Amino acid sequence: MSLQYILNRFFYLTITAFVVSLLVFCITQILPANAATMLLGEYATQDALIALEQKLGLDQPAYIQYFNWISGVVQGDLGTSLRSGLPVSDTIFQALGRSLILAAFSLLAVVIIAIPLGVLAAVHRGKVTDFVVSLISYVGISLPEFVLATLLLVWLTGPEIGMFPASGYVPITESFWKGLWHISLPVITLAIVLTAHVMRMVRSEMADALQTDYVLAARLRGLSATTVLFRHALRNSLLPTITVLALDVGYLIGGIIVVEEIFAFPGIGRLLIVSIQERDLPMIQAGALVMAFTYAIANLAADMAYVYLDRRIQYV
Amino acid sequence: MLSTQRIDNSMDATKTLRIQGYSISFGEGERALKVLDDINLDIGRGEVVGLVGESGSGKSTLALAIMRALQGRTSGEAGDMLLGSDSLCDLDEQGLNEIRGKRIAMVFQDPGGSLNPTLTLGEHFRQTLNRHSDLAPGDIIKETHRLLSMVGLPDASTMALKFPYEVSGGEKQRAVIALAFACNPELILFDEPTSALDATTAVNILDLFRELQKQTGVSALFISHDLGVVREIAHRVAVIYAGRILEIGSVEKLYAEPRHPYTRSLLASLPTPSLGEENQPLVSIAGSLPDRTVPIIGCNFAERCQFATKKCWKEPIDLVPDNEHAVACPYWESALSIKIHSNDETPTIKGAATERVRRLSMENLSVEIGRPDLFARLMGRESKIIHAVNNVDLVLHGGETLGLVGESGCGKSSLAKALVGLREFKGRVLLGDTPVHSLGHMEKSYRKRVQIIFQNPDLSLNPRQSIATILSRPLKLYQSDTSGNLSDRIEKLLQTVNLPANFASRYPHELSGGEKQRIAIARALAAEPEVIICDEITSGLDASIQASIVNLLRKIQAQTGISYLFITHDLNLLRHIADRVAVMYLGEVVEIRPANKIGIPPYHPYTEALLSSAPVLDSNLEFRRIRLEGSLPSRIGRVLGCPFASRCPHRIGTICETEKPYRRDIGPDHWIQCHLDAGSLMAVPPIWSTPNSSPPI
Amino acid sequence: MSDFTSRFFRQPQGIVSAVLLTILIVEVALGPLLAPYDPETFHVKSRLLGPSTDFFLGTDQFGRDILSRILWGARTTILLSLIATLIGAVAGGILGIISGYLGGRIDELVMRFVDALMAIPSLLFALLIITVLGPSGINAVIAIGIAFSPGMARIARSVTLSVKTSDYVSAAVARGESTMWIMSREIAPNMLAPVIIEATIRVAFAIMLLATLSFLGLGSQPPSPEWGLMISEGRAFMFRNAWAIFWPGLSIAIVAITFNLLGDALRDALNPKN
Repeated sequence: MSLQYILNRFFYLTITAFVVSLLVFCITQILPANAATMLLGEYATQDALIALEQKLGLDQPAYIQYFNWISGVVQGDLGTSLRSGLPVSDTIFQALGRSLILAAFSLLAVVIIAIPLGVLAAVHRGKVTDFVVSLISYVGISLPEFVLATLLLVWLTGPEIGMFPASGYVPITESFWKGLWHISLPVITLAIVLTAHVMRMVRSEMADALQTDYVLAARLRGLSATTVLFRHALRNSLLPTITVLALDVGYLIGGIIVVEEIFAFPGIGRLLIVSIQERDLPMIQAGALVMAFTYAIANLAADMAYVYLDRRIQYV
Repeated sequence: MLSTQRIDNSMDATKTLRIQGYSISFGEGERALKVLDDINLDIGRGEVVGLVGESGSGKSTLALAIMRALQGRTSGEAGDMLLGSDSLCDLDEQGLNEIRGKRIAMVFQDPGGSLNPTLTLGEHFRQTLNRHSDLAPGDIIKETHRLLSMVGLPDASTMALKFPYEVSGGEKQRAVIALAFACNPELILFDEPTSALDATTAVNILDLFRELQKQTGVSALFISHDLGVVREIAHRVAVIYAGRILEIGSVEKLYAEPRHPYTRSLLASLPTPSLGEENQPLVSIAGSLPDRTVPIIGCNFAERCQFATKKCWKEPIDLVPDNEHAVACPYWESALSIKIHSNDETPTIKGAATERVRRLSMENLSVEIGRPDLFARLMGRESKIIHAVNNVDLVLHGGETLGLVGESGCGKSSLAKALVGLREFKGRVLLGDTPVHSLGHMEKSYRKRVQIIFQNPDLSLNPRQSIATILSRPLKLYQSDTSGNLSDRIEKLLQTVNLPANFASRYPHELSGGEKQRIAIARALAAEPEVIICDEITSGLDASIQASIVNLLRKIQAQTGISYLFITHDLNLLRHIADRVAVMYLGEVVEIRPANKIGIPPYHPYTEALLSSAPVLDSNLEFRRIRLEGSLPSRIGRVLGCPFASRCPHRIGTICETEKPYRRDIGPDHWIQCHLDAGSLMAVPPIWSTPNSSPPI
Repeated sequence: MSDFTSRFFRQPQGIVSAVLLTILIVEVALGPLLAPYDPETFHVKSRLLGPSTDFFLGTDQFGRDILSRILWGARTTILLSLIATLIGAVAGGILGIISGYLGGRIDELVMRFVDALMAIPSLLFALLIITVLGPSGINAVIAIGIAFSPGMARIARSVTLSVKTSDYVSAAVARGESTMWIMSREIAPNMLAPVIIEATIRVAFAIMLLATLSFLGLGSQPPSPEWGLMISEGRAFMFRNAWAIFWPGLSIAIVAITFNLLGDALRDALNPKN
């Protein structure tokens, strides 16, 4: 993979990040509620409002505000929370860290479960295994996270079964097993939906790959069924699957928002919801930016992995 | 051609392959289609048997059936196939896997398709050798290199590390052939291995195979629709039609003295050099394939055979062996005396008398593809602009057919597209005396008078529009001939292309390839143009359908005086339709010559190579072989000297790369762009000659 | 046409989705007429009950009949989702065709912009827009529609690109047909199929997004019988009566499954592979 290609992609990433930040900024700028009013309350005097606005830099034209914000971001300063008065960066990155653990475990579960099942379904296309896997996939992709999460909450944390805690967070670093126990339900919820998506994708891609001419040619060279399956069909199916995994990170982000809300998990999703409800502008901006940027990085990683596995794409 | 040493099958106790009474159908129950019907075929040790047939004949199915790899629902399997003494039909999947790759190998048509795009070439070999041999890993690598060198691929160790997309079509096919030979199989099945390749590349591949076959003595079944290719490579030939074999004979006998009416018609529909009469029209075979969902009693060719008698329909016809030449027709001898005739009416004079009025002229025409890439320029690299057409001068006269021939990458399609406003061009184009603007500013009056027909009929008709809609568009757009209402005019158009009026309500997917192409012709005619550009319009069609299209075009030209720019890669076809021929290579026209004496020197070196890669079926002709090395150079960036310099067998020195050659006038309507002087060009011996060296054609 | 119907009903997905779709249409059209009770009436003495002969699906924390609420809410949930998807499909589709057909610099610019938009996950995007517009059912629809547009534009563009290079389009250009004609009569009919399929599957996604937004309090507001909202409201009491969240959850799942199945069936029926 050429250096030029990597540079090209990073360049592209920067542009995307820039446009995203612009978008986020623009959207949040249209917010009717004035930040200063929020801080001082409704009965503040006009003078006090103006003074605070000046202090916060809210009286300046939009593009100057944007420029200030962006230059801060690039240097690592994401602003100050209107609610807590603390620097946004600390809060956000702490929360991000926790969410990433959630995401990591979910993706792990997906890789371990979804891919083998998808392969199995494709190989036994049209038979019982395929039917069962397809059924599970359909249900999985049709259930919004919050429904699943709520159902699991009711079922598994209620007084009757009480297998998992309903909420709370214990850092893995403190106590591994207790921490694991607490994040189990959120992870399970996310994993189920994600697995359904990936399973479907793998099955469909494998089914296509098994029909190609080069797979036929490989079979006609007498290669064993395992060789044909793994070294030909699967390998080439994984490529689009990687793309889907990257897209699913986006879906995961959406899911994380919901799941964290339901299980009161102190991750970045929950942070964002709270910020929206409290109109904490700097936090909303930074949160959205960080999430979008994470997604963009995930896509970049997927692109590079794709290119590594299939050299052709570089030249396209 | 392979040596005439006879393969004496009676001495060999075991033949390599014996197919006995094999039949199979696709689908089940009432709608089952009988694809193969009672096939009997033997292949001896070291023998190459060619199997020729048109599309729908079942030839590819037979190959997959031998490998026991037919996909989809099949039924009605009968008969047996024996590899040596083992019955293939009795083997289970495991047994078959032992055989596949080791005792029987297969080479497909599309080399790109049979290689996994994400694995290196070497990896393909490693897997196969690992599976079927006991070689140690180090030895496998050595063997891989040996095999790659054996098929003429240079620098084997580097080649083994390349991915399929990094090598050309010809190189890929060589690698696939090497893969087939890897485990020393007894039998190799070839399914149209050269059909996807350019003619000059294809002949190299055929040479290669002939060499390898001689060295290893492998048996082969060589399937092709191309009779010429098969003649180069086979000892015996079988002709298959609609699932039945109609004739089997040795290569010499079958081509010199074809017996079955179908074989004779097939040979007559091919445009190949022969000593026959000039302007012999191509024969097209009337009708179409029979309905094979019902059992066919009698001969399956009867409904299209001009000699058919009542008995042909009633009595079962079997392949009757007669020494070395078996025929499935009891009346072939009496039919021999009657000439095969076409059912198209063809004018004997090719085209109206050319008026020498300049109808469409091109001066200094250039076409570039690609946009200047800002990013690349910033990085200081040359932008990837492809110079598809370079400073072409061509004139098309009224009532004339100008053939334009060249292989893939020569720019002929780009030229065609530029002339109809699909590509930007530089230079001058004149219709009559009026200059024409490029692309976005092209005048509507020009568009009406210059029409185009595309290569692939499946893609050139909008699948969601009815035939009536398709044909009405040009009528509405150009408002010519306002007499009669729309449906009448559509009916008239359909009549002109020999299609029934009820086709107007049909949709493209209900029509065959040949019928769709006729609609495309009708659509072009609807505008009442002066010029029609035919861009490889018969390339995907069977020979007999190609013949009928060519005859139709000639008829129309005789009636209306339309000029054609007929683009093709098949030089031989142009003898039947063109008045003059322009040869293109790498974006430049390197020669213009008259079509009726196409085989007479002098030739441009590239024309010489093209002519020599054309198949010859007339056994009275001998021909010289010219083989080109290497492949087409890149079209990015301009070429300074002669575009053909890198591969020219007559290259004289560095002048060929550094200076553009002149156009040398050889005669009326004949010039050659070459550094060789006229004398040296004349001195080149003709490509085709008879043993008595009578005047060549 | 008959070709299409036979292919459609040949598969299990086709049959099942057709059946479910019919049920849904009935529910949307006649829901309020079939509901035994008014969805907003409190039956104070019958709160948080499980299924019974009086209340087939039980009651919620205010004593409202769940069945009636679901039948009324069908309209809200399903229709709003359809509208959201329609907005996204039309806006994105038009953008995609134009960008794909015109090509060149315009296409590149538009696509870079769309790519950047797609870097924001749908829910996040919708959330941001709701932040601006304020929470309500209609705003949720607009937000989802806007969030879907980039994805639909991408699909429409890629199909347009592949159709654009077909010879029949080239033939039309060579004839000198107007751009409008080419886009509407040559290209559009051939690109409808993938776009319709994608849109159908997105309806399922829209339903879930809509319900999620309502659940988060950012979509439909009480006392709307929107299914996501019902689940949100029932959360506080879920240990006492899980039926209040089970039935709406099941309904959402069934509608989503219906449209997913429909999309799959359409995909196979519109693009026959021999």
